Amino acid sequence: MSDYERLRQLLLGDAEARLAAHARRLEAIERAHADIARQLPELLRESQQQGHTATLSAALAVPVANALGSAVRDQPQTIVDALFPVIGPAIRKAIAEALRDFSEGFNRALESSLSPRGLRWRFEAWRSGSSYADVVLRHSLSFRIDHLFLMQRDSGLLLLHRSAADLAQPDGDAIAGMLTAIGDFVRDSVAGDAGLRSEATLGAASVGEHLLWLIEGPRANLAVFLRGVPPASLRALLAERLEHWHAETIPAPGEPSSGPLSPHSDSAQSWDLSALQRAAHRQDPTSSRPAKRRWPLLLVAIVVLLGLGAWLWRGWMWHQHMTAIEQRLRDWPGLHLDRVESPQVGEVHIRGLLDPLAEAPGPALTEMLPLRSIVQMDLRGFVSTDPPLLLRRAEKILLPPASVRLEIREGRLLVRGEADAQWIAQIAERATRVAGIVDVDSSDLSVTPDPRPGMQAELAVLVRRLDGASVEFSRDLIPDNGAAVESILRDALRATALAAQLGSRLTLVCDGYHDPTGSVAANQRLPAERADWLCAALQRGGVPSDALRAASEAEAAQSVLASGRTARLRAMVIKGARHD
Amino acid sequence: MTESARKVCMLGDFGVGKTSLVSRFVHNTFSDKYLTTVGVKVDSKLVGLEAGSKLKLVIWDIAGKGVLDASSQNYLRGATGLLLVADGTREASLRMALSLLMQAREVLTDPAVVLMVNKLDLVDRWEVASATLAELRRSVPLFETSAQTGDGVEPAFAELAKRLIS
Repeated sequence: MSDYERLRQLLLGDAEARLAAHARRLEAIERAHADIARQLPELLRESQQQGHTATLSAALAVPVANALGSAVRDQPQTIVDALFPVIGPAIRKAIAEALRDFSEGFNRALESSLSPRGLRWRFEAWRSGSSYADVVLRHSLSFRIDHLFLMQRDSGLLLLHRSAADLAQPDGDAIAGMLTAIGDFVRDSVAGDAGLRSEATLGAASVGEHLLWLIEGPRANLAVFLRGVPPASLRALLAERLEHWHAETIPAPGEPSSGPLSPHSDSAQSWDLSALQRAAHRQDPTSSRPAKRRWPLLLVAIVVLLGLGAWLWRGWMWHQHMTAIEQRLRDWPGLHLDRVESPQVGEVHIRGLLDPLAEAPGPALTEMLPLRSIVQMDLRGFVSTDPPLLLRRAEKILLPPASVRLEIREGRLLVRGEADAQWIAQIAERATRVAGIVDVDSSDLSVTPDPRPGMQAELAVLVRRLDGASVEFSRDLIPDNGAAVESILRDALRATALAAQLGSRLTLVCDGYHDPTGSVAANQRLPAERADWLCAALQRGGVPSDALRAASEAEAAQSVLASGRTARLRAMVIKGARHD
Repeated sequence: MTESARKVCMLGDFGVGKTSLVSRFVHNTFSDKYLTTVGVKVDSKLVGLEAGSKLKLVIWDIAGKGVLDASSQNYLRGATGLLLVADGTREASLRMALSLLMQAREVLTDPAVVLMVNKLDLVDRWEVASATLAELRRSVPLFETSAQTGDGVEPAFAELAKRLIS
């Protein structure tokens, strides 16, 4: 050893020794760590075998949970692949259970809510203030659990047995065993392939009024014998209790499955039949919303009442219409009403007799009735003695002048006013033609004074004045004095009016003349033109054309004998020839 | 339900008297027709033990077959005891019972076993030799029984109950 080495030994020997010891220790640790992966499974097994299961489970709980969380986070697909065989059947089973419960609930709801019985129960619930569920349960949805068996899934050994107090205690062990055997038998019979074996289970069976429910769990199955119609919530409740039982009775690894339960244990207490029935009633969704359940009934009741009210109101209104129509028809002049019928609202049938002179009642009825009403009338003709009809008939036959007023009083025709003697003379005879008139009273009828003589005298004066009246022409067809024409026109108009009133016919003949001067041709033409000019002037003034006539050629020929530039009238009255 | 219960399965060839033995031992709850329909019939029997305690035997009478099929194996699940039944007048039934024991041990872990050689009332017609029975007694508790007279039935079940709690 050199000096340097010796010096180094003296100065750093202790430190190097410690360093070497640490290096050896480090190597040992690394070797130990390298062996851990190999030794860990064996160590875990030894720990379990040595009875440290609980300690080991507690120690591993947190890291295993953390590792599972990391795996879900980092490698979700791996976890999904691993859980798929478990999740698939579980989901299918859950869906099947939910659909079955939904179907049961839907069927029950349909059966109970839309049927007359359901409506009656709703009315009873509304009337009594109880919830609909209470009424339904009271009537038909009542049920009872007769027996309940909790049994080991594999062996069928009975874990717990409950029976209703009033029933004989059956051999629960044998029944549990047979139920397990039958469940296996059904599963083996129904599920052909291995994939379905774990899912196909006997869930329920019914015999008469009895119902058997079988609910499976991982370690224990539940069998319940029922009577009546249980709510869907009961099955959910039983499944929930079974899940709780499984959670509370987890056996340690390697330990045997649970044995029979003490009747006083908490688990056993939770299977009390009365408590289960009460809990199922409370959880029944049909009994948890009493306030909402009244809405449909109230709505239906309101609609029904509104409909009923509308129907009654419509009937009452129609009855009012019918009363008014009947009254109107009974007061209708010239109508004898036999019958008014209404086979249904909006339709009227009328039978009776109607005088031809009476007004038809149809338009008036149409105004009184609601729109789209049907009026059917069967009216035959007859002669009415109603005063208005008698009056109308008398007026039509007697043709009274305007100065005469007719009145019907108790079958008598009262005639008042003034009329000419001729009409008065005929009235008694003509009144006999009026059907329904029994007598005529014309005592208040006076004779109208006769104006004819005065009129005839005036007409004679006018005719004399018109006959020979002339119009002078300064030359050709130009009159000297327009006033002469107007005077002739006034007389002509009054004369034609008087002639018409007297029943006579006035004819005015227009003649034309010429003086000796002028050409022959002009003198031949002027008489006719001046006669026409006068007739035209009178006609324009309002004299009827049939009362005017130009002189004939023979009459005109005489005009040569006369002279003067004039046009002259000749007036003639023919008595008894009235103008029409 | 304070007493313990154990599931016990009866195995044996057709016609060896399994159902008759159960009928002799227990009060029947179910009809025998289940044997031909479902393939099993379950009864129970409360057995008194020497210590004064009691053990309930839930007896699964499985329909007689030469081979344990899938259904029979399902019925065996959870059983802790086996009652093998053979007909003394048919030696083949003894071999069948032992064969069924071998098959059942593939499903069950170390079950308690009792062998019943039935029809003791017809002992003069037995085919099974005494030497064979003596040989068997060395490996399995063996009882000569008669469902007709009831001989040996109660002791056989009592022995099985004793072995189940030991």
